[in-house]
Amino acid sequence: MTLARRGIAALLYVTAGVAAVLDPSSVGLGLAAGCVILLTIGYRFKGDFTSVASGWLLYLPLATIFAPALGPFWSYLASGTYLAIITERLSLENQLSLPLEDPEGVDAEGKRLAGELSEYHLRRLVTVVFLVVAISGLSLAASVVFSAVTVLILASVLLFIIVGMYAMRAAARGTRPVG
Amino acid sequence: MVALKNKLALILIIAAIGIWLSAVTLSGVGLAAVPIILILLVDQGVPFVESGAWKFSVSRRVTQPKVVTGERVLVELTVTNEGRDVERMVLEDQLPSGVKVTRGSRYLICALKRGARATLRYEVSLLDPGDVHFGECLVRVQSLFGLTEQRLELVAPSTVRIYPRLLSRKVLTSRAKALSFSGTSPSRFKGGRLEFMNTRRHVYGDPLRDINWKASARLGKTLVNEWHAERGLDCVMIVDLLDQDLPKVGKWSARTDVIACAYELSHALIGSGNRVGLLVLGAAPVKLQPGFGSKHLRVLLDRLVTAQEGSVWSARNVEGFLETFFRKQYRFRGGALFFVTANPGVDVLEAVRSLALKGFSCHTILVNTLEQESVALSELRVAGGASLSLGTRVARAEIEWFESRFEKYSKVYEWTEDSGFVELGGL
Repeated sequence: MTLARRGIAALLYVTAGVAAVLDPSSVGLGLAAGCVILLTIGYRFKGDFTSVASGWLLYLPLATIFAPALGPFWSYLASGTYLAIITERLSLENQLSLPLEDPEGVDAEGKRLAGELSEYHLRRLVTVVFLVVAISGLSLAASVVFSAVTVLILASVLLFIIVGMYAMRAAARGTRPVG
Repeated sequence: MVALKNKLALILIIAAIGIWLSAVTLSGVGLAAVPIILILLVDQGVPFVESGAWKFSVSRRVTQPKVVTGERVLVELTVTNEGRDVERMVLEDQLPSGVKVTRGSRYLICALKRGARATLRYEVSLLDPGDVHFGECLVRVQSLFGLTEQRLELVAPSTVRIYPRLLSRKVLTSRAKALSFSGTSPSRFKGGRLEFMNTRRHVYGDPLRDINWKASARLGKTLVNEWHAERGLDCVMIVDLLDQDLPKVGKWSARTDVIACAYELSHALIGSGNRVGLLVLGAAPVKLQPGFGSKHLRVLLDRLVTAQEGSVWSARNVEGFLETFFRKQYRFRGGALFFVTANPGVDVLEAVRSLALKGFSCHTILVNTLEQESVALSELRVAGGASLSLGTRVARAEIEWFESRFEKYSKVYEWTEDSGFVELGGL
């Protein structure tokens, strides 16, 4: 598990490096540097917030890199999906490293339970990717009939409604954000 | 109460900014919101649908409820899910102070279905004598992607008692003899086993263990061994656990050494047939009437390890305690008083002086912990090199000054973990 954490962190470092090389604008370089700094802090202190923030700093540079291959519109979706999956996985691995930090001391049950959770989490991430691909396919199909701008507005309204629903749900339960 | 994690707030902000930028620039930059919202949907399921409450029970097991210092103890904390299915859960055990995890981790992360149970196992090392109370643990029930969390505090009590390790000395065959104590009260080993005198005919009431089977078989009559009668001493150990008299650096405290010294002394005294009583100065006046034997030693040890340091019952009250709780010893000035202290203050000196002048036979055991203190200071990087050396010299000089004062009224011994009791001088 610890190796997986290291591997995911390395993948983000490599992504930051590639972004810095392929998007050599001052903004791109700044964002990549910020990513590396936050990622190092997040890796050292196993922080959720810093790990996720470090990944999302690469959103724009990565979209710029994907743009020649996927086009200016879908590159954002690809970049967002990649980072959402990677940062979410890194966040889980950070937490899993708490019980697994001492490989000698972990009993078989603890390791098995952590492994099961990791597998379950991975399956759900695959579900997310599948949904993203499905929505993209539907949007592509819709854009044949409607203009791309209309689809964008439609998606934005849909997302606002969902965010609003969750905000209402949270308010109804008297919740508050915590670290 | 369900709490939203900072991570959720962050990705929602990213999504909102993206959507806003999309609307303003008429570009696809807001498409980052699509995977974010999908993660949120997959994580939270269908909104507004309640599927029951969280309910857990926890139980704790420790492999040994009684251990000696430095020994490792396996702690098992089992959580059972009695409520709805849990997708992701973190079980975190709260460690009491002075406990160090040596193997494993105090965290368990898992998914737990209704009716299932999971066990967190870890090994701890317990260093300071006393009672260690395990109790609270924290269950953090999270959504699968960890975007929301609910915290539940549960209690699974368990206690481990830590005893000091009895140090074995190579040089001295009997520590009590080295201290040359002998008394007037009959020892439990009356007709005891230290020096063989003669054999005689068995009479009714002689213990079986004294029968000399070989001689009996040879002469055809039952003979028993006779031994020199030993005389025991009524001793009262006055153990100084006063806050101001216990050197402390960070987590290190001289309490462990003081208790180890008192245990070794009481073991030696009782082992030589003396009656030993106890008085502990500290948070509460722990007292025990003088008594014989291993059972008494166990009781004495229990009182020692559970005694708490404090500043309520000071050395000024020693005479009052003796008068109140140890009337026989006080009235007849019988036996001997043993003051066990790590960093004696003026109050202890005054108590020794006052009691010696009233006819008590006093002994002062100075527990030398300068080496351990230096190590603790170095580890904390509070002092090192020249300043540490200077501090040690000053501390040594202070102890020597007290030694010279104590020697006027009592026999003085120094105790160290490595070499045990060493007589310094005195009456």
